[in-house]
Formats: sequence, C-alpha cells, structure tokens
Amino acid sequence: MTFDSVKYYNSPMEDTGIVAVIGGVTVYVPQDPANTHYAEIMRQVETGELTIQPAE
Amino acid sequence: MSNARELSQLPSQTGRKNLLYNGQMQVVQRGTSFTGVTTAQYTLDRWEWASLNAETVTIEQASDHPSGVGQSLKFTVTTADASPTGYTVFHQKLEGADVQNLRYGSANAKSVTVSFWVKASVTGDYSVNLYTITATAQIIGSVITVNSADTWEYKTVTFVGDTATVIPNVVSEGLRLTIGLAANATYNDTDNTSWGAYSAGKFLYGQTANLVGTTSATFQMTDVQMEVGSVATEFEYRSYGEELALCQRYYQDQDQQSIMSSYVSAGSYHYASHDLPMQMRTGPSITITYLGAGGSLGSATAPTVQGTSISGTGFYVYKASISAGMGYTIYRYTTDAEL
Repeated sequence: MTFDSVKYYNSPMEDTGIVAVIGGVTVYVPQDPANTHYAEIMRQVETGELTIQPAE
Repeated sequence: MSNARELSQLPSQTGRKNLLYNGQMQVVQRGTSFTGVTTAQYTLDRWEWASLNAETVTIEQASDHPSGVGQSLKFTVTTADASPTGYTVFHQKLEGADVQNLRYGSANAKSVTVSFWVKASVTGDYSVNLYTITATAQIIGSVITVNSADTWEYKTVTFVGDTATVIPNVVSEGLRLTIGLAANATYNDTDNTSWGAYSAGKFLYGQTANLVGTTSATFQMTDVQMEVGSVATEFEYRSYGEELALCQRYYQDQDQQSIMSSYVSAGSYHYASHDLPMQMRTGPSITITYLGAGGSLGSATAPTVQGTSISGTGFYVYKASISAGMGYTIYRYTTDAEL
C-alpha cells in the first residue's frame, strides 16, 4: 500500500487523529491496530519507509 | 427423531454453508465498473484484485451468468503484460473468528470444498489456494482447468484441513482464498498440494494459464462457494439485503449525509454523529466527499472526522461556521474496515 502522505491533526476537542492521502483521496484513519490502513502505516513507520507528519 | 437411521438422514451441515461473501457478485457498493486498474484494490464487494505484473485491466459486474440470469465478476485485460514477472490474482480474506469451525490445528481439522463457475478466454490451468494468516503462514493449493475458451464451466476443488496450525480467533485476517490469473516461475515452481509453510514459489503452483499476456483476454467467475466437507453442493442463494448487510461489516457507502446548524455565531464548531447501519469489523477508515453547503456552514469543504470518535459503530464529524446564522453542509461518506 502506498501513502501519498500521512499526518496527525488536532480537533477542536483537543484530541489527535491521523489523516492519510492514498491515491489522491483523503482518508481518516483510526488509531486502531485492527484497522488495515493503520496497521500498514505503523508497519511502514517501523521499517522506516514512512514518517507521520506532525499536526500543524 | 426416533432412531439412528433417521438421524443419519439429517443434512451434514445446517445453517449458512458458504463461508465466502458476495459469491454471486450482486453487491457492488464501490461501483459496477473499475477501469484503468493497475494497482491492488477492492472491486465488487469483498473481492480484491492484486497484481505484481504490469497489465492494465477493467473489472466489472457483468450481466452474464451460466443460468442466463444473474451476475458475474468480469476481468478484462486492456493493456497486456506479455512477460509477467509477478502474479495476478483475485482473493477474498476471511476473519480468523469466522473460520474457527474449521478446527485447524487439531486432529479434527475439516476439509473445505471450493466451487464456482468460470468462463475464460484463455484455456489452461489456474491455481486455487488457501492461505492461513498464522505465526508462520501456511498454504495449500490445487488447480482448476479451463478446457474451452469463452464457455461457462463448473469447477470444484477440495482442500483437507490443516491439522498442524491453529488460525487465531481474531477479527483480523485468518484465512484467504486466492484464484490465480497469471504467474511467472517465481510464484509457481514449488509444490503446494499439501499444507506447508508459505513461500513465494508455492503461491500459484500449477498456474500455467497467463491471462494477462493478451490484450482483451477475459476471465469471469460467479457463484463462488466455500463450504465445509469434501463435496460441492448447490450454491447457497442469499437475498440482496442479507448479502449487503454481510458486506457492510467491511465497507459502507452512505450518501446524502448532512450537518445542519441552528442560529450560531461565526467561528463556532458544529458536530454531526453518524451511527453505522451495520457494526463494522473494527474502527473503519473514512472518506468524506463534499456535495454542497450554504449559510453559516457554506464553505465548500467537507466536514472533518473527529479522529478518536471512530469505532465500529459510528463516528463524529465537525465543521466551523464561517458566519453567524443558520447553515448546512451535505456530503457522503465511505467507511472501510476491509481486511
């Protein structure tokens, strides 16, 4: 799976989410290990293929 | 039942028998046609196409069925890869929790039989295999032979149960059915006809047909069933509503959702909660498509998902008002909890 970008974002409720762009499509990804996208993001972070950008 | 003879006449299996989803290719939440496909993606519900070759394809729901009434999944090569260096497959992934009845990893491991109708323009042998997602992935495979081009043929394959390796009882992937369309030697040169640790060479062992090598080549399948036992039985028909509900555990597409605001001040945030019509396998990934807006919520943007609100049963979205007054934003969303 190829991610165009992955970054954290803060909501008005002061919690943090993850938003990814996959094939040009914006996808909100829950921080849930059973979620396939999140699991793949974490795998790629672990192997150094991907960095999650900090919230703006 | 009054005696052993009557007991023996009970069906060997009651209740739902098809372990697969959308075998009759009727649920198409993502759309009915996918053109210019080059990278792995889900197409008709629960059926994922994957390839390490260089072909470009169209995948669609076709109104073509061996009975004359019904649908099939149709794969058409639009740009061929004459010398494939990888593999091309369709597969369906099943949750570990849903295949515990197979008793893998025990002396009571059960055989399963896969049956389906196939119509292909390229004759030859196509690999069919089962792959378990365990600490050390295991695989077993066989082949079906397409004898006549462009003709519906009924195929069955039986796999014995794996007595050695337990499939974890989890909501993540536990078992995968793969149907091969093309493979080069890297993926088909090692015998996989008994259960053993996965290796690349075992993946599509026996695959000789190269469907991706010819532009306009086609492959169709329908009434795909995997059932416990060593005999293929009649395909289990499910109503559309039942099949849709089953598929919605993994993917949902909801149109015409909205945030409505009462009178508000500029710069305040407004929330909408969405309860999913079917509880999903896990917290889903969510895409939101903006459709329209007006008034105080009139900026031409979709609302944002509150990240920590996402669960298998629903989520919240929010959007800031741009002015005082009432307003609305309309959008659609998809939720994806595929394996």
